[in-house]
Amino acid sequence: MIRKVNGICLKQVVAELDEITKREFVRTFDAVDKQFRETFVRLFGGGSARLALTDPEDLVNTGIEIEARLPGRREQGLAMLSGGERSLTAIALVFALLKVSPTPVCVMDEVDAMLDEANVGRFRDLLVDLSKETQFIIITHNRNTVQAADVIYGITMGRDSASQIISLRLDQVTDDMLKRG
Amino acid sequence: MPLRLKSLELQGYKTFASRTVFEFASGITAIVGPNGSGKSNIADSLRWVLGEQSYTLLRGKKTEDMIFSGSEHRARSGLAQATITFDNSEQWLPVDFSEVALSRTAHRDGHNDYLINSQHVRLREMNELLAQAGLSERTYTILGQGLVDASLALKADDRRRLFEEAAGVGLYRSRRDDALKRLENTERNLERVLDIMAELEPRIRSLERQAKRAIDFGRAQADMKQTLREWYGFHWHRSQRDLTDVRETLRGQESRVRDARVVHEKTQQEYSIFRERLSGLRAQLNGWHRQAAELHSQREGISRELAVLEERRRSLTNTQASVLSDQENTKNELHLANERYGDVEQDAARIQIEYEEAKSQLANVQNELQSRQSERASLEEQIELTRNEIESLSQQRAENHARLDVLRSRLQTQIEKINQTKEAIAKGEALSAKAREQYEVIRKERENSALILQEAEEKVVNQKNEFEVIDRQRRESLEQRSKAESDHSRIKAQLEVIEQSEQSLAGFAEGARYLLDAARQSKLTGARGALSAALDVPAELEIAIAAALGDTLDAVLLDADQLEEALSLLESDGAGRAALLPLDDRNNLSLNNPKDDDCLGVASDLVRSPDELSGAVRLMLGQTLIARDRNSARRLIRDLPIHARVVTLRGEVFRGDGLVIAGKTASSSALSRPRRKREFESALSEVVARIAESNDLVERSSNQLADAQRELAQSDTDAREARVRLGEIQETEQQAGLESESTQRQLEWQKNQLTQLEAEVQESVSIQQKIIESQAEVENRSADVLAKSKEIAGKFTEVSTDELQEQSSYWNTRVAVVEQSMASTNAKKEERVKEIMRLDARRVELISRLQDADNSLNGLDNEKTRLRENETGLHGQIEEMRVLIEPAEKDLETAEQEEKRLQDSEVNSQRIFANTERSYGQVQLEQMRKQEALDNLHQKITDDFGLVMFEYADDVSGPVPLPLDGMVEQLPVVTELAPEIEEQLTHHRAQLRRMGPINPDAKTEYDQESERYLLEAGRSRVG
Repeated sequence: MIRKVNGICLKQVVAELDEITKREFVRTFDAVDKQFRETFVRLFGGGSARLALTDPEDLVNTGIEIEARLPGRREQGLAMLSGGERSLTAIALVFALLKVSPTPVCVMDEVDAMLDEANVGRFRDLLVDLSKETQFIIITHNRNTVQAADVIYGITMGRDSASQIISLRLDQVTDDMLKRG
Repeated sequence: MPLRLKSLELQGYKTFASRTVFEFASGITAIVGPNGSGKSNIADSLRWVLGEQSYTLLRGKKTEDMIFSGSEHRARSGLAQATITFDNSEQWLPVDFSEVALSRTAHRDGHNDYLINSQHVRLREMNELLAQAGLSERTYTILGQGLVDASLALKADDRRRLFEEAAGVGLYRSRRDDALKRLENTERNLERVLDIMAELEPRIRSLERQAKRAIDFGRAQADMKQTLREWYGFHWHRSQRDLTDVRETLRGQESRVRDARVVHEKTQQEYSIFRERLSGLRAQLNGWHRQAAELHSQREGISRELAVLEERRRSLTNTQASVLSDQENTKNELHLANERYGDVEQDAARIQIEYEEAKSQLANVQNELQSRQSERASLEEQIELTRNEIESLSQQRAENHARLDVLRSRLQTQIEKINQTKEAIAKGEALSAKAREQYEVIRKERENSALILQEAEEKVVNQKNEFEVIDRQRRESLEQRSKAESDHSRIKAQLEVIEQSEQSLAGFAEGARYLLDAARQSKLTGARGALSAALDVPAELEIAIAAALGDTLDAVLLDADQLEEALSLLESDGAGRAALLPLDDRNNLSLNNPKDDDCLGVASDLVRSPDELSGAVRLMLGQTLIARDRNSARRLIRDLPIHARVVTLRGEVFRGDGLVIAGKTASSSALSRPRRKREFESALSEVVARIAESNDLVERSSNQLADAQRELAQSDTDAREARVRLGEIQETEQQAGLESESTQRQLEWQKNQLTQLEAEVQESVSIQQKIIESQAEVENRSADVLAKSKEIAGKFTEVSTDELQEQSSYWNTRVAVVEQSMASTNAKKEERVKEIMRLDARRVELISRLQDADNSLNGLDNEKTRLRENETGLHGQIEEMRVLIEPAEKDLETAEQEEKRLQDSEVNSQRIFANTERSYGQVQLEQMRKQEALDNLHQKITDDFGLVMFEYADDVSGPVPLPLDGMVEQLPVVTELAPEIEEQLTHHRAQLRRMGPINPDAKTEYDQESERYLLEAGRSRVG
């Protein structure tokens, strides 16, 4: 019957697409996993982490789990990490993705807000590395991050409730511009 | 990394009200600013211009939230626009422009425009362009606040999406989902079709039944219609006939009614005419009666008026008399008043004259007084002036005095100060000199200490150098010792290795090892050890000797009588092979040294061995020459007997019988072992000696070092002390210097003070001089002014105004008195005039009143005569009226009798008319009933047959339909109704009633539903 033929056609298409998706997904997953391990170690200055498939049997629908072990600690679930550690882990994942599949431009809005000084330093170094491949626009309150920038813009709120921009050099970035309110 | 995103331009977007341009760097661009300044709006704008549709991600609810909303100082914007410019010189975006500007505009009505290089495009086109460039399908292109955290917090399944985006398979996934959705849709449709079909089936069955019944019904109905046609045809024509008959009767009745009405109307008319006449008579009579009554009342009114007039005439005569007497009185009073007025007038004239005089006097006096007063005023002014002058002068004088006092006291204090300062200077000079001396002493002391310190430091440096030299020496000897020690351990280890291998008989043939072991365990007596162990071979000959000995190298030396025992041992235990060399006293001959340069000699001579073994050695090596190389060996062997051998230094063996053995032997180590052991032992002892020597050296230098250290510490303490002392002295020096400087400064200051004070004194003296001069001047001027003032005071007293003032006040009072009496006279005069005027008025009034009374009297008389005339007129009229009224009343009586008769005849005719009308109404009712029956029949026929071409009788009319073919029924004309028709009709009606309610549309519905059923069935197959 026609119905069955139709169904088979669609199912074939789905199967083909699943095949492509599977192949590409596994390839990307392996590459990102590799990068993620490196990036994690660089960002945390030690420790180890890896990505894992929640259901390796079903590559079409499997989820992805992050397993992280911070330097000098046992392996922990993500929920047990502190805010800064969690953000840094996320940054590691995002950087790994960017390394594997770079986008032309990447905008980051206060991603370093929760990081301490040492972590910001490592974050900045990695950012500078990645900026060879991807153009970055970073919105930040952190002086250390600003130091990595080639161009700096300051935003202020005028008396008429309209934003104004100022082009700044690094030595012109005052604490006023960096403070949070 | 090439620059991709060149710039971002915002206008009216969120907080960016004005046009704002960001130029981005190729690497990292940072955006900083306090909270609430609008940083994140930049990220939002990028997301927005890239076609984001979710307003939650853009932190808003609707398009309007993207537009600048205005503030107290700034109006809101009408639209928001964001433009990003990409560099596309590398063609990474699939368009033929080297620069691509994407722009999005939002209007307040919620409308959005997308532009690529200023060309309007649809959102889908924009999305496709960006998807191809990998910009739109990446969640991690723009990471908003907290989004980084979100990417982790995402569930494991959601996180997968990031990877799919990175892999670029998001597109496939969406297509897959589409396909699945379509499949699902189809299945759902199919299910629905089946549902519909299941629902339709029973309905179709019932509809089929209904249709069949409807057809039966239709047939029965047609039969009945046929019968009905006939029935209706008969009844229709009969009804029409009935109606025509009734109409005829009605017309007869109608003419009867008309006749009766004419008769009735005539009687009625007669009666009404007569009544009109009667009422006219009555009205006339009434009018006359009314006229007569009016005339009577008029006559009475006139007699009343006459009485009133008489009364009024009497009262008027009285008034006239009283007015006349009043007039007389008034005339007398007026005369009296005129006389009084004359008196008053005279008084007034006199007083006026007096007043004039007093006034002129007063004016004279006042003029004089005024001139006197102005004179006095000018004098007073002068006095005031001089007094002021005197006052200012005395003030100046006092001031001068005060200033002089101040100056004098100041001068005194200044002089005192000068003296004090002078003393201070003298004291300060002494102090300064002393301080300088002290400073000098301390400075010298400091120089001394500095020298001492320098010496101490130099000493320290020297000692340090010395210390270092010693230390270096010590370190060197320590190094030597450790080197010797390491040598010692190395050699010892090597020695141990050799001893061990000797012990374990390494390199020996199995049998030999077995025998030697047995000898060690005292199983075999008389064994002397291996041959190799017994020989002492120079190192350079080792290879040659080992080659020469060959397998016999590890031959076991045995006492000759023990040979059998050894052999049986070997045999019994099945050990390996062994070479056995029994020692006996056989004197073996050895070759003679051929004295050749290339021949080193006979081998047995070249090795050393214990004396008891010399026989064995000669046996083994006595027939062997050692040559330098192969050539010389070959040459030497030619001259030698057949059992002799020549061995080269490399270990090649040339035998007398021509056999040549060459190649590396397994080991010559067994042969070299004793020699090496000896060598190591001697080296070891040497090294031990070296260690002892080094130890000595180290100890010595250590002692020296300790001494040097001690000395160095001593010197260091010395130097430190010297430095501390120097520091102290320097401090004191500094203090002294400061002190000296401060005294110097003080001195300087005092001197300055002195010169300053002297200058001040001089100034004060000059000021004093000046003040004294001015004081003298002031004195002179005050004397002048005093004299002048006295003079003016004299003049002032001369000019007196008292007398004049008295005169002036006298005249003033006089004027006032006269004025008062004048006023009183005037008032009196006015009073008199008023009285005269009043009396005059009264007189005039009385005259007029008299006149009025006369006039009224005349009028009253006239009125009286007129009224009397009227009275007589009226009387005559009344008489006339009575003559008219009496015959009229008789007429009326006869007329009333006539009226009664007429009324009776009218009532009669009316009764007849009513009777006729009633019977007419009955016939009319009958006709209406017939008409109605006909209409009912008509209705019934049309209900049953629809449009019918009715045949109407001549006098009946009704609607006639258009003669449409097939649609209009024709009723047959039936005059006689067959008796069975009625029966048939009843039968048909009963049949139809039995069939009950019928759905007339059942057939069509059945057709439709079955068609639909077939269609759905087809669809289900297609689906």
